[in-house]
Amino acid sequence: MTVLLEASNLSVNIDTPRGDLHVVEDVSFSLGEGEILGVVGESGCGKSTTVRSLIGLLPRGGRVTGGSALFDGVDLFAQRPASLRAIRGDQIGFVAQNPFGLLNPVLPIAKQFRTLIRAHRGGLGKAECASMAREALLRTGIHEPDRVLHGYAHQLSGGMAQRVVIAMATILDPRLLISDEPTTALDVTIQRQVLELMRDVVRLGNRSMILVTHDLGVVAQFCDSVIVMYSGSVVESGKVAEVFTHPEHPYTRGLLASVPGGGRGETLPPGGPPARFEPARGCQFAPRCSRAETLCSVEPPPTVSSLGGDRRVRCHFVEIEEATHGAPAG
Amino acid sequence: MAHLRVENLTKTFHAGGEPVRAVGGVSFTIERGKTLALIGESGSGKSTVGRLVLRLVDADAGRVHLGDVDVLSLPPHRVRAQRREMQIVFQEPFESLNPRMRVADIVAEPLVIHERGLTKDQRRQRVRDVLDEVGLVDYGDRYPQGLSGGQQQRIGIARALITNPSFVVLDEPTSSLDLSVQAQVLDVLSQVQERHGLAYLYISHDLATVREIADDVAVMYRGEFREVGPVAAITSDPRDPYTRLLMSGFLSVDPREAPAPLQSAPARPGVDLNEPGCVFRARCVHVAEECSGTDLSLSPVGDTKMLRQVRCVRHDELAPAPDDVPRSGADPTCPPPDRQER
Repeated sequence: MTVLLEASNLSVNIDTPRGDLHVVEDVSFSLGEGEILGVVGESGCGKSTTVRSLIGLLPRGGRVTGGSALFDGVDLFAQRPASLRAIRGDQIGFVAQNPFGLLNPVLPIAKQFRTLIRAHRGGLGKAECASMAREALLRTGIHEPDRVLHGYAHQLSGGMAQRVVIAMATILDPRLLISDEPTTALDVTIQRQVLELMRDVVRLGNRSMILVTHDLGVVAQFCDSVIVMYSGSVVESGKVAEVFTHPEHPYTRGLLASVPGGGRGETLPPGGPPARFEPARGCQFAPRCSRAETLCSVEPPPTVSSLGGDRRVRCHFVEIEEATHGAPAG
Repeated sequence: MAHLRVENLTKTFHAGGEPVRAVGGVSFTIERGKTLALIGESGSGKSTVGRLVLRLVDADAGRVHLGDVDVLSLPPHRVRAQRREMQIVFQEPFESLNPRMRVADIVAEPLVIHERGLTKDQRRQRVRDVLDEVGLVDYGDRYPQGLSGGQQQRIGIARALITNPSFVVLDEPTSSLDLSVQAQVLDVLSQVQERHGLAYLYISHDLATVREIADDVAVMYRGEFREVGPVAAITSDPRDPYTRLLMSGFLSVDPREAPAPLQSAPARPGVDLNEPGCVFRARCVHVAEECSGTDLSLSPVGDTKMLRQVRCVRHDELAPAPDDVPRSGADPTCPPPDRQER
């Protein structure tokens, strides 16, 4: 599989009155062409910040403090604002949790499509833009595109508005679609339809997608690979089929066991990582981990990559177990 | 006799001159110590039912009895006193807590209104006791913004409990919380229910938590109940096509269990829902001629002792053949509630 996006040692700080908050620390992952990658974790784990940093959409005070993100060989972090704008919307589409936050409330939908198209494909006439928009809306399952195009955002239901945003995010045929909790605000039945729609759009064009979610069911059913984040770091990553059926990191295990009605094994104790104003020391999950020992709070956990494939786990115990199993007899 | 008895509750809102029927005649009962869950999509009227029962919104018609009090015919000045008996926990914990008040003052506020005769010390003791029940006894001097979402929600629960109500509406109390925190809040709710014999009306769109907390479930669509009965019976063998649609939206965390196809037809144009007939017929995959023409009522289904009712006229045809009745939990869209022992 050809690699489309390679993020290495990505770190993000947010400047606050109390000092620099370490939100994302040393995160690496890669995304192949045609692949759907899930980014999962509890609120505050840095999953949204990680993907938003790729396209320069960090909150006020946020900045990338290290690492690189090679998109088709181009480092997104080394781009000037104008060249990042040229990539964003054209080669990378973005869908957020609240579609109304991405739509302009005072402009007709048609005009918003036109602005987007002309920003990247200058010189296209009004009629051409409208016919592109109509096609994109039809692809997202909107049966009467003209009614939507002539209307305003407030006339749309949540599910319809999200379809419009997906149509906008994919209209220029981007190679990568980044979606940040795209269905969290929607009803379960609409959620299925929107996710299936996004998957089909991605699969049909051999595009790639990063799907940020806190919903493990969404990852299990719609993603090829997954990174599990805790306190700004990736604790486990690999193919969904392996990570979700044989989770290795105690956090991944606890998270899966905590799903109501679906979980097996020891559930996650409540709580969360504290806000960090210093780089992490030791394993951030140790205070909630039932296996933790002194070592865990002192030494940063190693990244174990000997489990086969592209599986990675950051845990002292997994390293110790792997070392014992892997040791030659005698 | 059941503690809460609701009959034929009805409410129509007027949005820009257009009448919108939010609740179209629902009836149910809840015993002390039991939980009825109301589930449905947004706009189904489930939150309105909770607000009508508490008289936060005035009903157009219907009756609500809590114990031997006829709630809807209380004169306005008596409603406030009645609220000690019936409380609510809201969805957004932070939005419903005053950021400028300390936790102890927030929790004490209902006592200031309802039990004016208490001394300062008595009040302080009651606040301590109820904070202890929700596991936050040391948090009285803190402000809400310093607390996590789960802690904020437990403050909301403490505030609802401090007047010793017998009935509490839980309006999506965990939907904004992380999984581990959600489990903890549900635990707290179950413990206080058991201790005080509370009747809960649990409003949610999340079938998974409903299985954890509820005894009975009512599935709502467009202001009416589609199906009512014991949780286990309905989740293992849903009879109404709308219940089936809701359940087919559930995604298993096991990547090997692919979800069943979504049981929804694209909305059929030209179906006028103001005409008599089933209100789900525009989206139903099992629609037939008998679905139009007459309004449907709930009819009993299965074992009569189960008090199970369903609205669909074709529910008999949709019942599984005797051989392939799924055992509870055998259906991948409906895993067993195997975390009970926690």
